[in-house]
Amino acid sequence: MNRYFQRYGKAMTAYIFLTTSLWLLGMVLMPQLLMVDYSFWYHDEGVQAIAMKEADRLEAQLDDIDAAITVAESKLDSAVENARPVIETHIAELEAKAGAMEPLFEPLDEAIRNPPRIYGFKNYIYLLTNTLHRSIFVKTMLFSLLVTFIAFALCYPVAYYLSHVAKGHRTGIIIMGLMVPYWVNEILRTFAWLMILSRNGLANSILSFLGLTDQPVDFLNSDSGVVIGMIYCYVLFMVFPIYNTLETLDHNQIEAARDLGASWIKIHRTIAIPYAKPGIAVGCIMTFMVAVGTYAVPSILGGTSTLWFTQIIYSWFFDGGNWNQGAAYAFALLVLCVTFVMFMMRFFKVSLEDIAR
Amino acid sequence: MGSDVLMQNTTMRFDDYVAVDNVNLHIREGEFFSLLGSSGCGKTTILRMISGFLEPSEGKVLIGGKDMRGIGPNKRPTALIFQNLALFPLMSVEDNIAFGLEVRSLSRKERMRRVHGLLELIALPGMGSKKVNDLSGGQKQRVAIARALAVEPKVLLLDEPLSALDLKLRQRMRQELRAIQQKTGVTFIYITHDQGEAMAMSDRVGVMSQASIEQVGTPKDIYNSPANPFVASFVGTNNVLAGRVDRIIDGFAVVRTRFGELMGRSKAGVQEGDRSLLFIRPENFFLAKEYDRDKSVISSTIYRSQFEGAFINLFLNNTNRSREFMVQLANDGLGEIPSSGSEVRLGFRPELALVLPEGELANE
Ligand SMILES: Nc1ncnc2c1ncn2[C@@H]1O[C@H](COP(=O)(O)OP(=O)(O)OP(=O)(O)O)[C@@H](O)[C@H]1O
Ligand SMILES: [Mg+2]
Repeated sequence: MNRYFQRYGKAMTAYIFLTTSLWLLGMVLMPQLLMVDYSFWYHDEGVQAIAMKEADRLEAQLDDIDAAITVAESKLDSAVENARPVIETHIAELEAKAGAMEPLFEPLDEAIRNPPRIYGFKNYIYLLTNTLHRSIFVKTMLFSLLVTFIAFALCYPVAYYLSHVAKGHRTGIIIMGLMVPYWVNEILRTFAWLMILSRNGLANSILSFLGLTDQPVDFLNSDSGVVIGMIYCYVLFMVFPIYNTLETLDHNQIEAARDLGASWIKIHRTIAIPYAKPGIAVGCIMTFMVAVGTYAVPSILGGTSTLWFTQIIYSWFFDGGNWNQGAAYAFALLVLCVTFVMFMMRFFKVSLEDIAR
Repeated sequence: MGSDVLMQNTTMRFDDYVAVDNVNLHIREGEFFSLLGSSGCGKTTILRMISGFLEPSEGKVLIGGKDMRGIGPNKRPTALIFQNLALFPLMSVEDNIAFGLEVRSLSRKERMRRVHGLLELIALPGMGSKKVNDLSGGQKQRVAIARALAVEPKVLLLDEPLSALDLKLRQRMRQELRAIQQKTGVTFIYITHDQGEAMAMSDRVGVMSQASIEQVGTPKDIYNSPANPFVASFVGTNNVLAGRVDRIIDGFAVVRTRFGELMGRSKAGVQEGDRSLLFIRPENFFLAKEYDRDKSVISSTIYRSQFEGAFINLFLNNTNRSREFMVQLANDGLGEIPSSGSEVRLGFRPELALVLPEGELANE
């Protein structure tokens, strides 16, 4: 602390600490903690049901009293003079009774609107026991891995070409070419693919023109459309990290390996890929994360029969109105991502600093 | 298969730029050959054509009598040592050296045996498991040599491999390189722009000017009988005097210069009446006596005198300021040191002066 005071002065140090802690608290900790908290409790529905029944019973009693008052009031008009006070006191008694019942509703209303929270694993157990949701979770994970893998297979050659084969201004042109489509909003791009992949869209025309298919392929109501769309949307997350690391690889090393007799496969396996590891790890992590977390692509290209896990989370929050369940699902997804990050770091033997670089 | 390298009418063009222009060169089996030339003259380009990274635009490269066209760098019997060494930083010393052996699918045992032999050769035994980046500059240098020698190349190509080292280390590495070359008998083609290096190590030297080779010969040939004004002015220090040839007698030409008539060995192509250049090296002068013959004596004023311990450098009055006229006298410890502003008479032996037809000089 003293070190910082010396280096930046008191006011500056205080400012730095304040902003950093606000940032940590507001951006990093709070939302996560809030979500974790939400995911571990649920409303006690038993209490809610009892309160509703009780409220209904009281409501019925009140209705009875109201009816009795109406009857009494109608008698009042036609009653003889000396019978009036009796009826009036009767009405007053009934009204007092009704008034006395009012406060009984308050705790019931509270219990209905905001039933007591019960902490526990129910939300998670629900995910584990609901076979449909569980399978969608697994499917989301597997397809994201597939997307990541295909994106890597497509992007590594491109990144290598850009960093070590293409010369001068051609590199710039290709990079621009890669980036320009991404200036268009993701939703719009995805809609373009909706048109390409539809039953009588471009993809099917080409396939049938080449004689590869005799019936139009239904990309949109199968997972293939989602995978294709996602690869398209997220390749840049793979290309650039790999390109950035390969860019710094001394080309002489590639030539040295070549000169020593290595084949191209050997050069990539022993020189280029090991060197690009941090970039590959970052690319895979980013691609996997956006693939797992995407909502637009599967909802536009997935049709009705395919669901992505994010869509279930969405429906818990907005259609089902069960935020706790949604939070548990979201947290499960987060755990999946963190696990993937740790796995990649272990697998590629890169540290967190390498990745942050 | 022999291991001589032959370049026949080899030209390399990059778009319109001619980097190597019609080079003919024969590098003999087992020799230490240096290519000497200033920066950008095309040395690396020649090396890359021999190693296979560039295909000549015209002409041929033959190694051991075999035309190398269409044969990639991984299939040629050459190994290249890069200027920046290009060691593989993610691998240990051992793995670096074994890289080329692994490609040749030798057994692990055989690989290790050879790696140890090479570590011995480069005087780094027991260092095999070290990380490359933990080595000193000189050690890295040796690992690069070992890595290249591991694949048992017929021809080892070295692209200014010592330029990154400090002077002391460079001098030691020169000797080691020479020793390794003699021990292994591999043909070495060594690129440098350090003349001392080329002279000290090589069996023969090729001197390059822009894009072409000016002369090939032993270091002694190159220094003592340069073939043309470029080589004469490029190799070592040389004083040049322009003038017209007055007459030629018994292989000696008398040239009329601004110091009067001077005489030197006449090389082929020098004709009476032609404009020519007379070269005399600084160390070939001595203080002349009054009675010395005037065709090998220069009288001039000294405008700067520089004491260097073993030598005394005198700079003579010179109209051409870009090219100094320098005289180097051995300090015998007794004689007087000529001071600035004084007149001197300087003699030279006409056999050591050289008359060449007029031609392009190397830039200072
Ligand atoms: N791939 C290339 N494309 C275009 N021009 C090139 C290429 N390689 C070399 N050149 C040009 O050819 C000329 C000779 O280059 P080269 O690298 O052979 O010089 P060098 O003698 O090795 O110089 P140095 O001593 O500085 O290394 C230079 O002018 C260079 O700009
Ligand atoms: Mg060079």
